[in-house]
Amino acid sequence: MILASFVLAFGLGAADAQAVPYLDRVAAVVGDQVVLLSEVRARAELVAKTQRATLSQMTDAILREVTERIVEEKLEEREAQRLKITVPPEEIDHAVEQLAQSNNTSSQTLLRNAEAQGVKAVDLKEALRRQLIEGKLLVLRSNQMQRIDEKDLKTRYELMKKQVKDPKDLKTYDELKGELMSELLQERLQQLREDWMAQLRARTYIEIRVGSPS
Amino acid sequence: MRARAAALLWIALSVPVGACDDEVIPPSKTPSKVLVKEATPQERRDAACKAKSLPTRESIRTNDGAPELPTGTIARVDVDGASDAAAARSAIGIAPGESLTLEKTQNAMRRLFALGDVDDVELDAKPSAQGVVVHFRIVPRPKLGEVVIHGGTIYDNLELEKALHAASGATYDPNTIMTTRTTLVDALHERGYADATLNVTGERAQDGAVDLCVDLHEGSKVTIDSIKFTGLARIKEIELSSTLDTDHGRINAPGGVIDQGKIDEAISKMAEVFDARGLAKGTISTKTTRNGDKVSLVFEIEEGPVILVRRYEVKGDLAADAGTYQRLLSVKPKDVFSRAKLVADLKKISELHEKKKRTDLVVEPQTQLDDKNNTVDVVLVVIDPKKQKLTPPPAPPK
Repeated sequence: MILASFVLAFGLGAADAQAVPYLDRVAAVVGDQVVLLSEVRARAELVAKTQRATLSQMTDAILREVTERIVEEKLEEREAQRLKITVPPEEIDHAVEQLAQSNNTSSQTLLRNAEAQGVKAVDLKEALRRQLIEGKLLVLRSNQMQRIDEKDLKTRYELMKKQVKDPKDLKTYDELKGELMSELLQERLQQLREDWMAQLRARTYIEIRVGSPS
Repeated sequence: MRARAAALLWIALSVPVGACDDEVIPPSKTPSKVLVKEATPQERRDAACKAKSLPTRESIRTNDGAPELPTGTIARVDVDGASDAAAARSAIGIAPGESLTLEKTQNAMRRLFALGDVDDVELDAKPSAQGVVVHFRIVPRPKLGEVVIHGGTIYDNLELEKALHAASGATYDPNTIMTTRTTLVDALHERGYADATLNVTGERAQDGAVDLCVDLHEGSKVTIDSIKFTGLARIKEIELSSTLDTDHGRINAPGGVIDQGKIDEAISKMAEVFDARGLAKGTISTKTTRNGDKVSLVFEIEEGPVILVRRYEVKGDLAADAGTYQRLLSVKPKDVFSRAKLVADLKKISELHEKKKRTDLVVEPQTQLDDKNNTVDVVLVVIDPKKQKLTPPPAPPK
């Protein structure tokens, strides 16, 4: 009888110990919307997969970075809603096709390979949708991008010349012009995005509760 | 003896104070109560104004709890902290007997937050013999404690308090504060107070309330002293200046204030003037030079060369004979190149395709600019998607 009581008590204790609750919290506030810790974890898990790591290996600093990225996406979504910008499904399918082509494969194979690596087709398409939205919003602001003229290209070429050990090793200006143009364009686009994001942040209440700012 | 003392000390550390028996060695000194001096209202107001931003909640722990939401049927849904329990239950929208999913708990948390006056929503879900017990905890927003407002002449203290809902005892709502702050500053900028700033900072006090400091700097009104156009050769100034909406001299005119939105609209209209004249490479940029309370506005124009059309034709999978298409086109070789006319021609071609019930046809304009001769070749290629061969992707490298 005593033994039975002991086993019963022990058994119950073990069940309780196993029942660690699952927790979710508000990880960030963007205006009147929230980013949940479960959303951050799900995204961090995708990041972890790309780095062949597990979610438990993700530090608070990485989780904060992930949260910051989700916050930016929320800001973009709000802006897209305000400007009534949408991405129809066929545009997303086209983006999948383009991505597949650049990987020398078909859309179906690309999605299958992604699934095999733990990225669901729906998540991949959602990531592409977000990219397309961002692209459309940036195009609207492209008039605020600093123009790239011949002088800029030549300055960049001179800088490259200084950086190489022997300037004779460097291709000619005409040969590198296209490359320089695309490099500068990327930089200006990045700058445009950063300026725009800073403006959106300044106009919105944002509170991030994950980790501490670096 | 030493071993016994060590055992007793271990007991003293691990047993709660109330559970001490008389075997426990009493501490040599009675621990003094840690007294935290309560800040005076003035100290709290000063701290709120010295803060750099609005207060935030403490960082959350990200690795607590089980990693996965338990699966199964919901046994019970508990909620606490709600000011209106019925509204909270309705917002949660999940009931015992249902199966638990992440989507359901996430939506419930979002809806609880959207109820308003909510600072935080926490969820824990725990498996039990009867099913999963789901528990939502709502943390209400704190109240405002000490409030300092430094108003101006356009918005005084009372107006700011009203607009920002910043009265002591009111609920602290940082989103409303930020939204209103943006609206007020935008309105001041539109009225010419280009340097206007409105800082709202705060601190969380010991009693949990949020102390707030609102500091408005209106600055002086900046007005335009001159508007100039530079770089004009083929286009007359009046053709461009007439595109500027001045609202009877209130904006974008000497004596008025800068309205950037209306300037942007005018630049779009100026671009149409350029387009009609074949100045496809023309550029317009604005430069403002501030001198005290005055600002001069300069439209810097680069007209560029006139671009002429060398070739302008339609080809591809045509739905009618070439002559029918040709008759729709409004541009012919040696005309100045105009994007507006090109767009109009594309529209006419689409209408023709609609008449021919060939809305599936796609028209792709291909333009080739000759920088040396300042000419452009335009080919409107009609594509029948059904005729497009689907080329299989190349085989992956071995």
